[in-house]
Amino acid sequence: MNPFVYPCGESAITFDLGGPIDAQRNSTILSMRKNILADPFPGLVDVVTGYSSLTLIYDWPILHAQLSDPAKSYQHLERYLTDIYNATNKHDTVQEILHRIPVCYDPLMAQDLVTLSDQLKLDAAEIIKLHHEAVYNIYMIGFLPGFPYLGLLPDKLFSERKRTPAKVPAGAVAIAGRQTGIYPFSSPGGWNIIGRTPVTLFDPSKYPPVKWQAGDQVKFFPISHDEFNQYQDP
Amino acid sequence: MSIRIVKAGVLDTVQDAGRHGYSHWGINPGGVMDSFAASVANWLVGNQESTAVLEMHFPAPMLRFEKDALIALCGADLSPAINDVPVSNWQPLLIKKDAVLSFRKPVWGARCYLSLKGGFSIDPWLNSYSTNLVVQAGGWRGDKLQTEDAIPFEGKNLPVNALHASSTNFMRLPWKVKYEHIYDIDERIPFTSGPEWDQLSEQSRILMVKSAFEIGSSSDRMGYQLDGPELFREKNVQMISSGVTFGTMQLLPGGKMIILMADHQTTGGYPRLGFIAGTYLPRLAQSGIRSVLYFQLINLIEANQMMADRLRENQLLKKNCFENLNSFYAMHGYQL
Repeated sequence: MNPFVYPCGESAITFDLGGPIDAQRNSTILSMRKNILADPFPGLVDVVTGYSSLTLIYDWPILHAQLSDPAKSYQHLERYLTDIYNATNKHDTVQEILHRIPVCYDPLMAQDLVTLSDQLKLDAAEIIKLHHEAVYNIYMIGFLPGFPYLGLLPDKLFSERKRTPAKVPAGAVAIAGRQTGIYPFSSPGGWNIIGRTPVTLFDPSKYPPVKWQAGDQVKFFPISHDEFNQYQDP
Repeated sequence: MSIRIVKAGVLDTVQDAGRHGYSHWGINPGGVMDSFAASVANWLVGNQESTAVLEMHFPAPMLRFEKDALIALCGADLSPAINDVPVSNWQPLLIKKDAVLSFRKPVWGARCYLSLKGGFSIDPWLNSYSTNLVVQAGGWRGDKLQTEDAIPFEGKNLPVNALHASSTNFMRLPWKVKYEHIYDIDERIPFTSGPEWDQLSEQSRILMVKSAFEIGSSSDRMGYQLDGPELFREKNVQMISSGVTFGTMQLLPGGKMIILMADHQTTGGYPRLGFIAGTYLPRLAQSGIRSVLYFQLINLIEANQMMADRLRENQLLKKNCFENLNSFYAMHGYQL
Protein backbone atom coordinates (compact mmCIF):
# COMPACT_ATOMS: atom_id res chain seq x y z
CA MET A 1 0.00 0.00 0.00
CA ASN A 2 1.44 3.37 -0.98
CA PRO A 3 -0.12 6.18 0.97
CA PHE A 4 -0.27 9.68 -0.42
CA VAL A 5 -1.57 12.79 1.26
CA TYR A 6 -2.98 15.94 -0.32
CA PRO A 7 -4.84 19.06 0.73
CA CYS A 8 -8.50 19.52 -0.20
CA GLY A 9 -8.68 23.28 0.04
CA GLU A 10 -7.44 24.98 3.18
CA SER A 11 -9.91 23.29 5.57
CA ALA A 12 -9.51 19.61 4.70
CA ILE A 13 -6.78 17.06 4.00
CA THR A 14 -6.99 13.55 2.52
CA PHE A 15 -4.94 10.45 3.26
CA ASP A 16 -5.24 8.07 0.33
CA LEU A 17 -4.19 4.44 -0.09
CA GLY A 18 -5.25 4.40 -3.75
CA GLY A 19 -6.45 1.29 -5.55
CA PRO A 20 -7.37 -1.39 -6.18
CA ILE A 21 -10.38 -1.46 -3.89
CA ASP A 22 -9.75 -4.27 -1.43
CA ALA A 23 -10.64 -5.30 2.08
CA GLN A 24 -7.22 -4.58 3.55
CA ARG A 25 -7.03 -0.98 2.34
CA ASN A 26 -10.57 -0.43 3.52
CA SER A 27 -10.07 -1.91 6.99
CA THR A 28 -6.82 0.05 7.40
CA ILE A 29 -8.69 3.29 6.70
CA LEU A 30 -11.50 2.34 9.08
CA SER A 31 -9.00 1.47 11.82
CA MET A 32 -7.24 4.79 11.27
CA ARG A 33 -10.55 6.59 11.69
CA LYS A 34 -11.20 4.74 14.93
CA ASN A 35 -7.78 5.74 16.24
CA ILE A 36 -8.25 9.37 15.23
CA LEU A 37 -11.63 9.56 16.96
CA ALA A 38 -10.27 7.89 20.11
CA ASP A 39 -8.38 11.14 20.71
CA PRO A 40 -9.69 13.81 18.36
CA PHE A 41 -7.55 16.93 18.01
CA PRO A 42 -9.16 20.31 18.78
CA GLY A 43 -10.86 21.64 15.67
CA LEU A 44 -11.51 18.24 14.09
CA VAL A 45 -14.98 18.43 12.53
CA ASP A 46 -15.33 15.10 10.72
CA VAL A 47 -13.42 12.12 9.38
CA VAL A 48 -14.97 11.05 6.08
CA THR A 49 -13.95 7.61 4.86
CA GLY A 50 -14.11 6.41 1.27
CA TYR A 51 -13.12 3.01 -0.07
CA SER A 52 -9.46 3.54 0.58
CA SER A 53 -9.08 7.10 1.79
CA LEU A 54 -10.00 9.30 4.67
CA THR A 55 -10.56 13.02 4.66
CA LEU A 56 -10.12 15.14 7.77
CA ILE A 57 -12.36 18.20 7.82
CA TYR A 58 -11.37 20.76 10.43
CA ASP A 59 -12.39 24.14 11.73
CA TRP A 60 -9.72 26.44 10.32
CA PRO A 61 -9.66 29.03 13.14
CA ILE A 62 -9.57 26.42 15.93
CA LEU A 63 -6.84 24.37 14.27
CA HIS A 64 -4.65 27.36 13.54
CA ALA A 65 -5.04 28.69 17.07
CA GLN A 66 -3.44 25.41 18.32
CA LEU A 67 -0.36 25.50 16.14
CA SER A 68 2.91 27.05 17.18
CA ASP A 69 3.64 27.62 13.47
CA PRO A 70 0.29 28.21 11.69
CA ALA A 71 2.02 28.68 8.34
CA LYS A 72 3.03 25.02 8.52
CA SER A 73 -0.50 23.70 9.19
CA TYR A 74 -0.46 21.36 6.17
CA GLN A 75 2.87 19.80 7.13
CA HIS A 76 1.60 19.38 10.69
CA LEU A 77 -1.50 17.50 9.54
CA GLU A 78 0.47 15.42 7.06
CA ARG A 79 2.79 14.33 9.86
CA TYR A 80 -0.19 13.61 12.11
CA LEU A 81 -1.82 11.37 9.50
CA THR A 82 1.41 9.53 8.80
CA ASP A 83 1.86 8.89 12.52
CA ILE A 84 -1.69 7.54 12.77
CA TYR A 85 -1.06 5.28 9.76
CA ASN A 86 2.18 3.96 11.21
CA ALA A 87 0.52 3.28 14.55
CA THR A 88 -2.43 1.46 12.95
CA ASN A 89 -2.32 -2.30 12.74
CA LYS A 90 -2.80 -3.05 9.03
CA HIS A 91 -4.22 -6.44 9.79
CA ASP A 92 -6.73 -5.30 12.35
CA THR A 93 -10.25 -6.21 11.44
CA VAL A 94 -12.85 -3.72 12.57
CA GLN A 95 -15.56 -5.39 14.67
CA GLU A 96 -17.86 -7.25 12.32
CA ILE A 97 -21.59 -6.89 12.77
CA LEU A 98 -23.68 -8.89 10.31
CA HIS A 99 -26.97 -7.43 9.09
CA ARG A 100 -29.43 -9.83 7.47
CA ILE A 101 -31.58 -8.00 4.98
CA PRO A 102 -34.74 -9.46 3.40
CA VAL A 103 -35.11 -8.76 -0.32
CA CYS A 104 -38.01 -9.39 -2.63
CA TYR A 105 -36.57 -10.24 -6.05
CA ASP A 106 -39.99 -10.44 -7.75
CA PRO A 107 -40.11 -9.02 -11.30
CA LEU A 108 -42.31 -6.14 -10.08
CA MET A 109 -39.54 -5.03 -7.75
CA ALA A 110 -36.67 -5.88 -10.07
CA GLN A 111 -36.96 -3.35 -12.88
CA ASP A 112 -33.57 -4.05 -14.41
CA LEU A 113 -33.27 -7.80 -13.98
CA VAL A 114 -34.31 -8.64 -17.56
CA THR A 115 -31.85 -6.24 -19.25
CA LEU A 116 -29.18 -7.34 -16.80
CA SER A 117 -29.84 -10.96 -17.62
CA ASP A 118 -29.14 -10.15 -21.31
CA GLN A 119 -26.03 -8.16 -20.48
CA LEU A 120 -24.53 -10.76 -18.14
CA LYS A 121 -25.69 -13.81 -20.14
CA LEU A 122 -27.13 -15.34 -16.97
CA ASP A 123 -30.73 -16.17 -16.25
CA ALA A 124 -32.54 -14.14 -13.57
CA ALA A 125 -32.61 -17.01 -11.07
CA GLU A 126 -28.83 -17.35 -11.34
CA ILE A 127 -28.30 -13.63 -10.77
CA ILE A 128 -30.55 -13.71 -7.72
CA LYS A 129 -28.81 -16.76 -6.26
CA LEU A 130 -25.34 -15.34 -6.73
CA HIS A 131 -26.48 -12.05 -5.20
CA HIS A 132 -27.92 -13.42 -1.97
CA GLU A 133 -25.39 -16.21 -1.44
CA ALA A 134 -22.49 -13.91 -0.69
CA VAL A 135 -21.67 -12.01 2.50
CA TYR A 136 -20.66 -8.44 1.71
CA ASN A 137 -18.55 -5.89 3.53
CA ILE A 138 -19.82 -2.34 3.85
CA TYR A 139 -16.91 -0.41 2.36
CA MET A 140 -18.37 3.01 2.87
CA ILE A 141 -21.59 4.93 3.41
CA GLY A 142 -22.18 7.88 1.10
CA PHE A 143 -24.13 9.29 -1.87
CA LEU A 144 -27.28 9.37 0.30
CA PRO A 145 -27.71 9.15 4.09
CA GLY A 146 -27.47 5.45 4.99
CA PHE A 147 -26.54 4.26 1.45
CA PRO A 148 -24.11 1.33 1.86
CA TYR A 149 -21.51 0.54 -0.78
CA LEU A 150 -21.31 -3.26 -0.48
CA GLY A 151 -18.74 -5.46 -2.03
CA LEU A 152 -17.35 -7.26 -3.63
CA LEU A 153 -19.75 -9.00 -6.03
CA PRO A 154 -18.68 -12.26 -7.67
CA ASP A 155 -17.08 -11.63 -11.10
CA LYS A 156 -20.06 -13.11 -12.97
CA LEU A 157 -22.24 -10.24 -11.68
CA PHE A 158 -19.97 -7.42 -12.84
CA SER A 159 -22.27 -5.00 -14.71
CA GLU A 160 -22.23 -1.52 -16.22
CA ARG A 161 -24.24 1.32 -14.73
CA LYS A 162 -27.34 2.31 -16.65
CA ARG A 163 -26.72 4.87 -19.37
CA THR A 164 -29.67 6.96 -18.21
CA PRO A 165 -30.29 7.16 -14.47
CA ALA A 166 -33.92 6.48 -13.54
CA LYS A 167 -36.02 7.25 -10.50
CA VAL A 168 -35.38 4.56 -7.90
CA PRO A 169 -37.84 3.77 -5.05
CA ALA A 170 -36.78 3.71 -1.39
CA GLY A 171 -35.57 0.21 -0.47
CA ALA A 172 -34.36 -0.63 -3.99
CA VAL A 173 -31.49 -3.13 -4.03
CA ALA A 174 -29.16 -2.60 -6.95
CA ILE A 175 -25.83 -3.59 -8.48
CA ALA A 176 -23.19 -1.82 -10.57
CA GLY A 177 -19.54 -2.61 -11.17
CA ARG A 178 -18.42 -4.92 -8.40
CA GLN A 179 -20.72 -3.29 -5.87
CA THR A 180 -24.19 -3.76 -4.60
CA GLY A 181 -26.15 -1.24 -2.59
CA ILE A 182 -29.55 -0.29 -1.19
CA TYR A 183 -31.23 3.09 -1.68
CA PRO A 184 -32.62 4.25 1.69
CA PHE A 185 -34.56 7.02 -0.06
CA SER A 186 -36.17 7.44 -3.41
CA SER A 187 -33.61 9.05 -5.67
CA PRO A 188 -32.39 9.19 -9.25
CA GLY A 189 -29.97 6.30 -9.64
CA GLY A 190 -27.79 4.64 -12.22
CA TRP A 191 -27.36 1.24 -10.59
CA ASN A 192 -29.27 -1.82 -11.89
CA ILE A 193 -32.27 -2.60 -9.70
CA ILE A 194 -32.71 -6.28 -8.92
CA GLY A 195 -35.01 -6.23 -5.89
CA ARG A 196 -36.44 -4.26 -2.99
CA THR A 197 -36.27 -4.51 0.77
CA PRO A 198 -39.25 -3.60 3.01
CA VAL A 199 -36.88 -2.64 5.85
CA THR A 200 -36.81 1.04 6.88
CA LEU A 201 -33.14 1.79 6.47
CA PHE A 202 -33.01 5.31 7.84
CA ASP A 203 -35.19 6.64 10.65
CA PRO A 204 -34.34 10.12 11.94
CA SER A 205 -36.60 9.65 14.96
CA LYS A 206 -34.27 6.91 16.23
CA TYR A 207 -30.69 7.04 17.49
CA PRO A 208 -28.68 5.87 15.66
CA PRO A 209 -30.84 6.76 12.67
CA VAL A 210 -29.15 4.09 10.55
CA LYS A 211 -28.23 0.66 11.85
CA TRP A 212 -25.02 0.11 9.95
CA GLN A 213 -21.61 1.62 9.36
CA ALA A 214 -18.61 0.95 7.16
CA GLY A 215 -16.87 -2.18 8.42
CA ASP A 216 -20.11 -4.08 9.12
CA GLN A 217 -21.30 -6.93 6.91
CA VAL A 218 -24.54 -7.54 5.04
CA LYS A 219 -26.21 -10.72 3.83
CA PHE A 220 -29.38 -10.68 1.77
CA PHE A 221 -32.08 -13.36 1.94
CA PRO A 222 -35.00 -13.71 -0.48
CA ILE A 223 -38.61 -13.16 0.58
CA SER A 224 -41.86 -13.46 -1.35
CA HIS A 225 -44.09 -10.66 -2.47
CA ASP A 226 -46.58 -11.50 0.30
CA GLU A 227 -43.85 -11.49 2.93
CA PHE A 228 -42.74 -8.11 1.57
CA ASN A 229 -46.23 -6.68 1.99
CA GLN A 230 -46.62 -8.10 5.49
CA TYR A 231 -43.22 -7.01 6.73
CA GLN A 232 -43.12 -4.86 9.82
CA ASP A 233 -40.03 -3.12 11.13
CA PRO A 234 -39.15 -4.43 14.61
CA MET B 1 -45.57 33.24 20.10
CA SER B 2 -44.20 32.76 16.65
CA ILE B 3 -43.19 34.00 13.27
CA ARG B 4 -46.21 33.29 11.13
CA ILE B 5 -45.62 32.46 7.48
CA VAL B 6 -48.33 34.55 5.85
CA LYS B 7 -47.14 33.42 2.43
CA ALA B 8 -44.32 30.95 1.89
CA GLY B 9 -41.41 31.71 -0.41
CA VAL B 10 -39.95 29.37 -3.02
CA LEU B 11 -37.39 27.89 -0.63
CA ASP B 12 -37.23 29.06 2.98
CA THR B 13 -35.41 26.75 5.37
CA VAL B 14 -33.99 26.99 8.85
CA GLN B 15 -30.21 26.55 8.70
CA ASP B 16 -27.21 26.96 10.91
CA ALA B 17 -23.51 26.25 10.33
CA GLY B 18 -24.36 22.63 9.44
CA ARG B 19 -24.67 19.17 10.94
CA HIS B 20 -21.07 18.02 11.06
CA GLY B 21 -19.57 14.77 12.28
CA TYR B 22 -22.11 12.28 10.88
CA SER B 23 -20.52 11.29 7.60
CA HIS B 24 -20.20 7.70 8.89
CA TRP B 25 -23.98 7.54 8.46
CA GLY B 26 -23.82 9.40 5.16
CA ILE B 27 -25.62 12.38 6.64
CA ASN B 28 -24.70 15.43 4.59
CA PRO B 29 -23.93 18.49 6.73
CA GLY B 30 -26.04 21.08 4.88
CA GLY B 31 -26.14 24.47 6.57
CA VAL B 32 -26.16 28.01 5.23
CA MET B 33 -24.84 28.75 1.76
CA ASP B 34 -23.38 32.13 2.78
CA SER B 35 -21.65 31.82 6.14
CA PHE B 36 -20.58 35.47 6.15
CA ALA B 37 -24.10 36.88 5.77
CA ALA B 38 -25.54 34.40 8.27
CA SER B 39 -22.82 35.17 10.85
CA VAL B 40 -23.22 38.93 10.50
CA ALA B 41 -27.01 38.66 10.76
CA ASN B 42 -26.48 36.86 14.07
CA TRP B 43 -23.85 39.27 15.40
CA LEU B 44 -26.07 42.27 14.65
CA VAL B 45 -28.69 40.93 17.05
CA GLY B 46 -26.27 39.73 19.73
CA ASN B 47 -26.32 36.02 18.80
CA GLN B 48 -23.33 33.75 18.36
CA GLU B 49 -22.63 32.98 14.68
CA SER B 50 -23.86 29.40 15.08
CA THR B 51 -27.45 30.39 16.00
CA ALA B 52 -30.06 29.14 13.55
CA VAL B 53 -31.31 31.58 10.91
CA LEU B 54 -33.88 31.51 8.17
CA GLU B 55 -32.38 31.23 4.69
CA MET B 56 -34.68 32.69 2.03
CA HIS B 57 -34.58 32.78 -1.76
CA PHE B 58 -36.63 34.88 -4.16
CA PRO B 59 -39.69 34.79 -4.28
CA ALA B 60 -39.26 35.29 -0.55
CA PRO B 61 -41.89 34.78 2.15
CA MET B 62 -44.19 37.26 3.80
CA LEU B 63 -43.80 36.95 7.58
CA ARG B 64 -45.73 38.31 10.54
CA PHE B 65 -44.06 38.60 13.93
CA GLU B 66 -46.55 37.71 16.60
CA LYS B 67 -44.53 39.54 19.21
CA ASP B 68 -41.77 42.15 19.46
CA ALA B 69 -38.46 41.05 18.00
CA LEU B 70 -34.92 42.19 17.28
CA ILE B 71 -33.97 41.00 13.81
CA ALA B 72 -31.45 41.54 11.05
CA LEU B 73 -31.42 40.71 7.36
CA CYS B 74 -28.12 40.02 5.62
CA GLY B 75 -27.16 38.68 2.23
CA ALA B 76 -29.20 39.19 -0.93
CA ASP B 77 -31.04 42.49 -1.27
CA LEU B 78 -34.60 41.40 -1.97
CA SER B 79 -36.07 44.87 -1.22
CA PRO B 80 -37.30 44.14 2.29
CA ALA B 81 -40.09 46.22 3.79
CA ILE B 82 -41.82 46.27 7.16
CA ASN B 83 -45.51 47.05 6.78
CA ASP B 84 -44.58 48.30 3.32
CA VAL B 85 -41.94 50.74 4.56
CA PRO B 86 -38.57 49.90 2.95
CA VAL B 87 -35.81 48.78 5.33
CA SER B 88 -32.17 47.87 4.79
CA ASN B 89 -30.11 44.76 5.10
CA TRP B 90 -26.99 44.65 7.28
CA GLN B 91 -28.61 46.64 10.09
CA PRO B 92 -30.42 45.59 13.29
CA LEU B 93 -34.16 46.23 13.27
CA LEU B 94 -36.31 46.34 16.37
CA ILE B 95 -39.85 45.46 15.38
CA LYS B 96 -43.21 45.59 17.07
CA LYS B 97 -45.70 42.81 17.56
CA ASP B 98 -47.77 42.16 14.40
CA ALA B 99 -45.32 43.85 12.04
CA VAL B 100 -45.26 42.21 8.60
CA LEU B 101 -42.00 41.68 6.74
CA SER B 102 -42.17 41.32 2.98
CA PHE B 103 -39.74 41.31 0.08
CA ARG B 104 -40.66 43.10 -3.09
CA LYS B 105 -38.06 42.37 -5.77
CA PRO B 106 -34.58 40.90 -6.13
CA VAL B 107 -31.93 43.59 -6.56
CA TRP B 108 -28.74 41.71 -5.85
CA GLY B 109 -27.66 38.30 -4.59
CA ALA B 110 -29.32 34.91 -4.31
CA ARG B 111 -30.16 34.19 -0.66
CA CYS B 112 -31.05 36.40 2.29
CA TYR B 113 -30.73 35.48 5.98
CA LEU B 114 -33.11 36.48 8.75
CA SER B 115 -31.75 36.31 12.28
CA LEU B 116 -33.73 36.76 15.46
CA LYS B 117 -32.27 37.69 18.84
CA GLY B 118 -32.37 34.46 20.83
CA GLY B 119 -32.96 32.33 17.76
CA PHE B 120 -35.95 30.03 17.27
CA SER B 121 -37.50 27.81 19.94
CA ILE B 122 -37.20 24.56 18.03
CA ASP B 123 -35.50 21.22 18.69
CA PRO B 124 -32.19 20.28 17.13
CA TRP B 125 -31.61 17.00 15.32
CA LEU B 126 -28.15 15.52 15.86
CA ASN B 127 -26.89 18.74 17.43
CA SER B 128 -27.89 21.02 14.57
CA TYR B 129 -30.86 23.08 13.42
CA SER B 130 -30.04 22.75 9.72
CA THR B 131 -32.82 21.34 7.56
CA ASN B 132 -32.03 18.07 5.78
CA LEU B 133 -34.59 17.78 2.98
CA VAL B 134 -33.40 14.30 1.90
CA VAL B 135 -34.13 12.63 5.23
CA GLN B 136 -36.78 15.23 6.15
CA ALA B 137 -35.39 16.02 9.58
CA GLY B 138 -33.89 19.04 11.31
CA GLY B 139 -34.89 22.69 10.95
CA TRP B 140 -38.64 23.18 10.91
CA ARG B 141 -40.12 19.66 10.64
CA GLY B 142 -37.44 18.71 8.16
CA ASP B 143 -39.12 20.76 5.47
CA LYS B 144 -39.12 24.10 3.72
CA LEU B 145 -41.58 26.55 5.28
CA GLN B 146 -45.21 26.34 4.18
CA THR B 147 -47.90 29.03 4.30
CA GLU B 148 -49.53 29.11 7.77
CA ASP B 149 -46.49 27.57 9.51
CA ALA B 150 -45.74 29.26 12.82
CA ILE B 151 -42.19 29.04 14.09
CA PRO B 152 -41.92 29.77 17.80
CA PHE B 153 -39.35 32.15 19.20
CA GLU B 154 -38.79 33.65 22.63
CA GLY B 155 -37.54 37.15 21.90
CA LYS B 156 -36.54 37.79 25.48
CA ASN B 157 -34.55 40.74 26.77
CA LEU B 158 -35.48 43.31 24.17
CA PRO B 159 -35.10 47.06 24.76
CA VAL B 160 -38.85 47.55 24.49
CA ASN B 161 -38.78 51.10 25.87
CA ALA B 162 -36.90 52.22 22.79
CA LEU B 163 -39.32 50.37 20.59
CA HIS B 164 -42.50 51.65 22.11
CA ALA B 165 -41.21 55.21 22.14
CA SER B 166 -41.22 55.00 18.36
CA SER B 167 -44.49 55.82 16.62
CA THR B 168 -43.83 53.45 13.75
CA ASN B 169 -43.90 49.65 13.71
CA PHE B 170 -40.16 49.34 13.87
CA MET B 171 -36.93 51.08 14.62
CA ARG B 172 -33.63 50.90 12.76
CA LEU B 173 -30.66 50.70 15.11
CA PRO B 174 -28.15 53.27 13.92
CA TRP B 175 -25.31 51.16 12.52
CA LYS B 176 -24.72 49.08 9.40
CA VAL B 177 -22.10 46.58 8.41
CA LYS B 178 -19.93 47.17 5.36
CA TYR B 179 -20.13 44.10 3.12
CA GLU B 180 -19.49 45.04 -0.51
CA HIS B 181 -15.83 44.00 -0.46
CA ILE B 182 -16.80 40.41 0.38
CA TYR B 183 -18.90 40.10 -2.76
CA ASP B 184 -16.90 42.00 -5.39
CA ILE B 185 -18.08 40.51 -8.69
CA ASP B 186 -15.12 41.82 -10.67
CA GLU B 187 -12.74 39.55 -8.84
CA ARG B 188 -11.71 36.20 -10.22
CA ILE B 189 -12.57 33.34 -7.92
CA PRO B 190 -9.44 31.72 -6.52
CA PHE B 191 -9.11 27.96 -6.16
CA THR B 192 -6.37 25.60 -5.06
CA SER B 193 -5.67 22.62 -7.28
CA GLY B 194 -7.16 19.22 -6.57
CA PRO B 195 -5.52 15.78 -6.80
CA GLU B 196 -6.81 15.26 -10.37
CA TRP B 197 -5.77 18.72 -11.65
CA ASP B 198 -2.60 17.35 -13.23
CA GLN B 199 -4.60 14.77 -15.15
CA LEU B 200 -6.26 17.56 -17.15
CA SER B 201 -4.81 18.26 -20.58
CA GLU B 202 -2.66 21.38 -20.73
CA GLN B 203 -5.27 23.02 -22.92
CA SER B 204 -7.99 22.26 -20.35
CA ARG B 205 -5.91 23.75 -17.56
CA ILE B 206 -5.51 26.92 -19.62
CA LEU B 207 -9.23 27.02 -20.44
CA MET B 208 -10.04 26.67 -16.79
CA VAL B 209 -8.26 29.88 -15.83
CA LYS B 210 -9.01 31.87 -18.98
CA SER B 211 -12.65 31.09 -19.76
CA ALA B 212 -15.93 32.47 -18.57
CA PHE B 213 -18.17 29.91 -16.84
CA GLU B 214 -21.84 30.56 -16.34
CA ILE B 215 -23.88 29.16 -13.45
CA GLY B 216 -26.39 26.89 -15.21
CA SER B 217 -30.13 26.83 -14.69
CA SER B 218 -30.20 23.49 -12.88
CA SER B 219 -27.89 24.82 -10.14
CA ASP B 220 -29.13 24.70 -6.56
CA ARG B 221 -28.03 24.32 -2.93
CA MET B 222 -26.44 20.97 -3.78
CA GLY B 223 -24.19 22.24 -6.52
CA TYR B 224 -23.59 24.76 -9.27
CA GLN B 225 -23.54 23.15 -12.71
CA LEU B 226 -21.29 25.33 -14.84
CA ASP B 227 -21.80 26.06 -18.53
CA GLY B 228 -18.50 26.62 -20.24
CA PRO B 229 -15.86 24.98 -22.41
CA GLU B 230 -15.51 21.22 -22.03
CA LEU B 231 -12.50 20.08 -20.10
CA PHE B 232 -10.70 16.77 -20.57
CA ARG B 233 -8.39 14.54 -18.63
CA GLU B 234 -5.44 13.26 -20.59
CA LYS B 235 -5.44 9.98 -18.71
CA ASN B 236 -8.74 8.51 -17.63
CA VAL B 237 -7.53 7.12 -14.34
CA GLN B 238 -10.28 5.16 -12.58
CA MET B 239 -11.73 7.23 -9.74
CA ILE B 240 -12.41 5.76 -6.31
CA SER B 241 -15.11 7.47 -4.22
CA SER B 242 -13.84 9.60 -1.37
CA GLY B 243 -14.89 12.44 0.91
CA VAL B 244 -15.80 15.77 -0.69
CA THR B 245 -16.39 19.25 0.74
CA PHE B 246 -18.32 22.49 0.12
CA GLY B 247 -16.41 24.18 -2.70
CA THR B 248 -15.05 21.03 -4.37
CA MET B 249 -14.87 21.48 -8.17
CA GLN B 250 -15.65 18.19 -9.90
CA LEU B 251 -15.29 17.20 -13.55
CA LEU B 252 -18.41 15.47 -14.87
CA PRO B 253 -18.31 12.80 -17.59
CA GLY B 254 -19.35 15.21 -20.40
CA GLY B 255 -16.47 17.62 -19.63
CA LYS B 256 -18.57 20.06 -17.62
CA MET B 257 -17.73 21.19 -14.11
CA ILE B 258 -19.83 21.24 -10.99
CA ILE B 259 -18.99 23.14 -7.79
CA LEU B 260 -20.36 21.34 -4.74
CA MET B 261 -22.32 23.71 -2.49
CA ALA B 262 -23.88 23.52 0.98
CA ASP B 263 -26.14 20.48 0.41
CA HIS B 264 -23.37 18.36 -1.18
CA GLN B 265 -23.29 14.67 -0.32
CA THR B 266 -20.52 13.40 1.92
CA THR B 267 -18.66 11.42 -0.75
CA GLY B 268 -18.13 11.65 -4.49
CA GLY B 269 -16.50 9.72 -7.29
CA TYR B 270 -15.73 12.39 -9.89
CA PRO B 271 -12.29 13.88 -10.54
CA ARG B 272 -11.51 16.76 -8.19
CA LEU B 273 -10.02 19.58 -10.23
CA GLY B 274 -9.82 22.08 -7.43
CA PHE B 275 -11.28 23.62 -4.29
CA ILE B 276 -12.73 27.12 -4.13
CA ALA B 277 -10.87 29.30 -1.59
CA GLY B 278 -12.95 29.30 1.60
CA THR B 279 -13.12 33.09 1.80
CA TYR B 280 -14.88 33.17 -1.59
CA LEU B 281 -17.69 30.75 -0.77
CA PRO B 282 -19.99 33.59 0.41
CA ARG B 283 -19.42 35.42 -2.88
CA LEU B 284 -20.24 32.23 -4.78
CA ALA B 285 -23.31 31.65 -2.62
CA GLN B 286 -24.67 35.04 -3.68
CA SER B 287 -24.03 34.40 -7.37
CA GLY B 288 -27.32 33.41 -8.93
CA ILE B 289 -28.18 31.45 -12.03
CA ARG B 290 -26.62 33.00 -15.17
CA SER B 291 -23.84 34.68 -13.16
CA VAL B 292 -20.53 34.61 -14.98
CA LEU B 293 -17.45 33.40 -13.12
CA TYR B 294 -13.74 33.50 -13.87
CA PHE B 295 -11.31 31.38 -11.89
CA GLN B 296 -7.76 31.90 -10.75
CA LEU B 297 -5.34 29.22 -9.57
CA ILE B 298 -3.63 29.99 -6.25
CA ASN B 299 -1.55 27.96 -3.86
CA LEU B 300 -2.34 26.75 -0.37
CA ILE B 301 -0.17 29.40 1.31
CA GLU B 302 -2.21 32.13 -0.35
CA ALA B 303 -5.49 30.40 0.53
CA ASN B 304 -4.40 30.15 4.16
CA GLN B 305 -3.32 33.77 4.20
CA MET B 306 -6.74 34.88 2.96
CA MET B 307 -8.42 32.84 5.70
CA ALA B 308 -6.17 34.42 8.35
CA ASP B 309 -6.95 37.92 7.09
CA ARG B 310 -10.68 37.27 6.91
CA LEU B 311 -10.69 35.74 10.38
CA ARG B 312 -9.04 38.84 11.82
CA GLU B 313 -11.54 41.13 10.08
CA ASN B 314 -14.47 39.05 11.27
CA GLN B 315 -13.28 39.02 14.86
CA LEU B 316 -13.15 42.80 14.78
CA LEU B 317 -16.53 43.01 13.08
CA LYS B 318 -18.12 40.75 15.67
CA LYS B 319 -16.63 42.80 18.49
CA ASN B 320 -17.97 46.03 16.97
CA CYS B 321 -21.45 44.59 16.49
CA PHE B 322 -21.63 43.49 20.12
CA GLU B 323 -20.21 46.78 21.41
CA ASN B 324 -22.74 48.81 19.45
CA LEU B 325 -25.61 46.68 20.66
CA ASN B 326 -24.33 46.85 24.23
CA SER B 327 -24.21 50.65 24.10
CA PHE B 328 -27.68 50.85 22.64
CA TYR B 329 -29.04 48.62 25.39
CA ALA B 330 -27.24 50.59 28.09
CA MET B 331 -28.48 53.88 26.67
CA HIS B 332 -32.04 52.69 27.10
CA GLY B 333 -31.49 51.23 30.54
CA TYR B 334 -31.11 47.59 29.54
CA GLN B 335 -28.34 45.06 29.76
CA LEU B 336 -27.50 42.84 26.83
